[in-house]
Amino acid sequence: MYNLKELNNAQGRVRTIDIVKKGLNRRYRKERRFRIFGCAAVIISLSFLSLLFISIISNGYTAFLQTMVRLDVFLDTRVIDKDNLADANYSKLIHEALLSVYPDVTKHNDRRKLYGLVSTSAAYRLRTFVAKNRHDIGTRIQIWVPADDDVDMLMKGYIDRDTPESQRRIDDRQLAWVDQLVRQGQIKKVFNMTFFTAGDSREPELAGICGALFGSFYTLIVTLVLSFPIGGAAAVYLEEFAPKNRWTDIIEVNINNLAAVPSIVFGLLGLAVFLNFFGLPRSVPLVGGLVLTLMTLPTIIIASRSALKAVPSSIREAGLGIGASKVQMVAHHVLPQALPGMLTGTIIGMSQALGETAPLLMIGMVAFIVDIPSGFTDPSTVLPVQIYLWADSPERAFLEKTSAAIMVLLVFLMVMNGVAIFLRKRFEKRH
Amino acid sequence: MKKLIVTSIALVYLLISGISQTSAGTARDYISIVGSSTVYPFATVVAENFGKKTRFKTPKIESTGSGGGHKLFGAGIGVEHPDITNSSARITKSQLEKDFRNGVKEVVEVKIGYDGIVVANSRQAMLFRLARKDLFLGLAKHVPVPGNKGALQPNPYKTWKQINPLLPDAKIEVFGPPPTSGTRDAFVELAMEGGANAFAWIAKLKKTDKKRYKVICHTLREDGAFIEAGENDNLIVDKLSKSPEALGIFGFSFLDQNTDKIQGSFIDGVQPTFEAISDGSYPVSRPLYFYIKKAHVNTIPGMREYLAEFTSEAAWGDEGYLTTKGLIPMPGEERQHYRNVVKELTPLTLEDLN
Amino acid sequence: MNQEQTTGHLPRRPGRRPLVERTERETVGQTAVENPRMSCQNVGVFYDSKKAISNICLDIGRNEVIAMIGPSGCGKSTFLRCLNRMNDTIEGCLVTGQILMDGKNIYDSDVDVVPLRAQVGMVFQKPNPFPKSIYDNIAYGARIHGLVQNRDETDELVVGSLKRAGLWNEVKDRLEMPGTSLSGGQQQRLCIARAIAVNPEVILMDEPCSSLDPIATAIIEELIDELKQDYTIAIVTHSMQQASRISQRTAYFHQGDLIEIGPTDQIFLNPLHQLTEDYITGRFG
Repeated sequence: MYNLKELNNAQGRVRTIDIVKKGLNRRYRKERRFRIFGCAAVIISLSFLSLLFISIISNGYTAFLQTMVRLDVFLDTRVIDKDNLADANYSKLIHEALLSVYPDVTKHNDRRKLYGLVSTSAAYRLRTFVAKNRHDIGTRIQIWVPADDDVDMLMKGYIDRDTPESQRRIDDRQLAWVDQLVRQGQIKKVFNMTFFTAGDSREPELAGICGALFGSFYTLIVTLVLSFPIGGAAAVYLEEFAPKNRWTDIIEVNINNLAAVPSIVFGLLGLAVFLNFFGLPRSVPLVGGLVLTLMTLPTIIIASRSALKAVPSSIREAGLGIGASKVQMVAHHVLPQALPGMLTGTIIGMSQALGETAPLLMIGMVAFIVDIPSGFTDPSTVLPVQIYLWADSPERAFLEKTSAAIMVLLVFLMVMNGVAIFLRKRFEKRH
Repeated sequence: MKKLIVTSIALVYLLISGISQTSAGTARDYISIVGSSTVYPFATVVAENFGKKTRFKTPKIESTGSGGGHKLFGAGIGVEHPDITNSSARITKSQLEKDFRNGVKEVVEVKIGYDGIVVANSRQAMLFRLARKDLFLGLAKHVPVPGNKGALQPNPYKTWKQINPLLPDAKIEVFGPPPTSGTRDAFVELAMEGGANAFAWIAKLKKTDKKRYKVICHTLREDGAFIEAGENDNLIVDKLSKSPEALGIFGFSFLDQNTDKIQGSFIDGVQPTFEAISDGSYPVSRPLYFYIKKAHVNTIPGMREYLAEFTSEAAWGDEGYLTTKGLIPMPGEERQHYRNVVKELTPLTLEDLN
Repeated sequence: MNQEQTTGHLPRRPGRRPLVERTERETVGQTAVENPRMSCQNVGVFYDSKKAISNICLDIGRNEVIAMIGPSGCGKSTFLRCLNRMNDTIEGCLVTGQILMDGKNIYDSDVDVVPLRAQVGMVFQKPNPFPKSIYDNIAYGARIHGLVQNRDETDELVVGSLKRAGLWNEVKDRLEMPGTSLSGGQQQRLCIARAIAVNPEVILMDEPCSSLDPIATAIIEELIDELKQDYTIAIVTHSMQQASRISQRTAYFHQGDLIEIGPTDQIFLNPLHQLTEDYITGRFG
């Protein structure tokens, strides 16, 4: 803008400092503006994040509580055969216990409604109780059983008593029964252990996250065990050993492209290769882990390569100069330096893998699975799939379970990242 | 570095031992079920009860859609293929022929009950009394030109009142499932075709030019009056309570679970209730099925017991637990018939599908 | 920079013979020595077919300090890196000619670079200690070559090397501290200690003092003077005073050619080549 020579030659010589000062305000304004934009960006993203957390937590915290009903059950010896505990009609005992509280309920339809106050699992609970306490058979016992999900929703305030009866999931009579139970202290809300110990269920009061948690755990173990060594080795080879020629260029471009491929494509690939070609079983963490490995490999390779690139070449020269072989140089000096960066890449890859549902759909991990998987070849589902399945269920009570499952997923993610950060810190400290 | 190596070796060992342990007994010890997302909620309840009552593992159920389920089911015999597929439509001849070609020679058909498809809106709005013809005129991409037989025009209707003066003066805005959904298939087959048949010349096309007939009936509006809301029916329910003017299309079970928020419209004078769907008077309802691979019944543990559980009165009976999940039971005789089919495992023949 | 002063107090011999023309690129001076440690014959280096140095013939004698000087980009560092095949690590680098060591061309296909580099150690321009403890920095080379068998031997070696490098008193109570925590001069001495820990026969030094202050430089120069009792040292330097202070012979490089080689005194007091004269009198470079 200003020609310095001309200025200097001009009669009333303008000093540089004056020009600088003239522009100074404009510069600072620009800086302030940029700062404000930056702050605003941070505030906006933080507020979205907190909005997300608030909505999830406010929707979901109630799922950690469960409404329980206390019943006085008479363990009738006519119903329970001491030698054949499994086949006794425990539902009948539960129904009798309910009827004893409300002896005036006689009509068949009303009785059905009354039985509906407690969960269908009450009978199974009773069965377990009896199996453990055989000496109680023939006496009257007190047992807490889970309430039906509608009662649960009512107790948690999700059902409005003011809506007309016909539009409520709980009618006036049931309302009166529940109120009576509350008055008699036969209803309480307890911490929902079931949610953390059970697998999936179609009854919201019985549904738990444990199956999906284990499924995610096994799947991610497979992914980690495969993708970290393979990705790391590939990155080390490409970065340190491979000659730089057209082939390695093509490989590099392909890896970069693979990182951008929609994840469902990896699911299709997994279906074609692992299920149809290798004949591995459907819906198992082993195959899920393999598919997610394919998906996370490019991420890990790219991150590892840039971590390796960032190691100063003087370290390499130092190693070679002292007479280390190339492998020694890489293993002793370059890898320890690059490991924190490689771990970061792995965390990112694993976090992505944890949240994936699309590729798992193709290999059958989007499924209703009740039993908690106990190994890598047991059918299982994963946390995001469980969230998706619950979000799609008609029962109202699954709404809070969905939010609670999201919280569990987030905690899982945080624990995973926490472990990785801990490891990284240890590596950084050591060198 | 050493620690890292030790840990990874330990993990690999864990992995390998996990595989060998479970795959030692190569046979699958749980039932594998695939198929319709409409039958899924019912099949899962049965599976869960079966798992609790018996010593067998709980069956694994994938919601793949009727077509996808059948493809997996009919791929062959063996533990890697599913044992049962659920379906919200009856198996077609070509599907069965394909099964035969792939070695699945004996397929047993079981009808489990009915499902109604409802057109519902928010309780805050007026209750609709629709005819299927109204639905067709409101939602088809091309509609007949009034007074000009055989001619079609792009759908000009903006409000329901323009179609039928008895309907409310509300904008046509309908949330519905995407084409991948079985609910969508059933809706276009039952409601749209039914409505189109009110025009004699279109009804005739079904015999003469089936392709054109299908295009007319099955193509929904793309001008924003029909909104594809995704497979998640909860989302549609949620949207309806937020926009009272709109209608939504979904399965009866979702209406049943949300009666405090939404109401089912009359269709051809019948409201979607349990009874109306069961006795067949509600026009937009369909039967639900599942298909069994007979060859697997004796090799997969628990198959017979699962089938017995599904066909027990406690499950699919008039007061069975499936009804609380929204399944509309078959009449008693029909139930008895299919119970016998399951007992005898009578395979389906091509003639049965005629 | 201060080369004017340098040459200013170097006395010139009167009545000297005429210098070799500037255009002449043949090496002037005595390239061969008796019983050389390493002998280079027609060494040339190409980076992707671009010539870096060519036709270098030079012997490196036993227990001498030979300095290589010349303007930036003259190829002196490239030549130095040929001597332990560090150029191998550079993509697209081609070395021609022969470098004989114990009668064997080190560029022969059957020569392993690992023992070669154990024999010909190197100290780099920028101090580059490993990001490990001081102890491990010294012990590393000996460990990978299997020169030490147990902890005691390693301790002895580490202490000995640090003492020889004159670093012992400064670091003896913090051997577990990372090598990178030392000051620049200490780091460079650590690198020298690391190099001598594997007991090489030749030590190559690539401008070892260029990033150090004068005091650190003086300490290292002293060290080099001591080390020449046991080792052959080839050093590349930008500083002519340094070359004149520590070396017995000096080689002057110019644009990829070895222009002149001779006893250090002669190069600085009485160069034979016009280009050498130009350089040491500060006419360029």
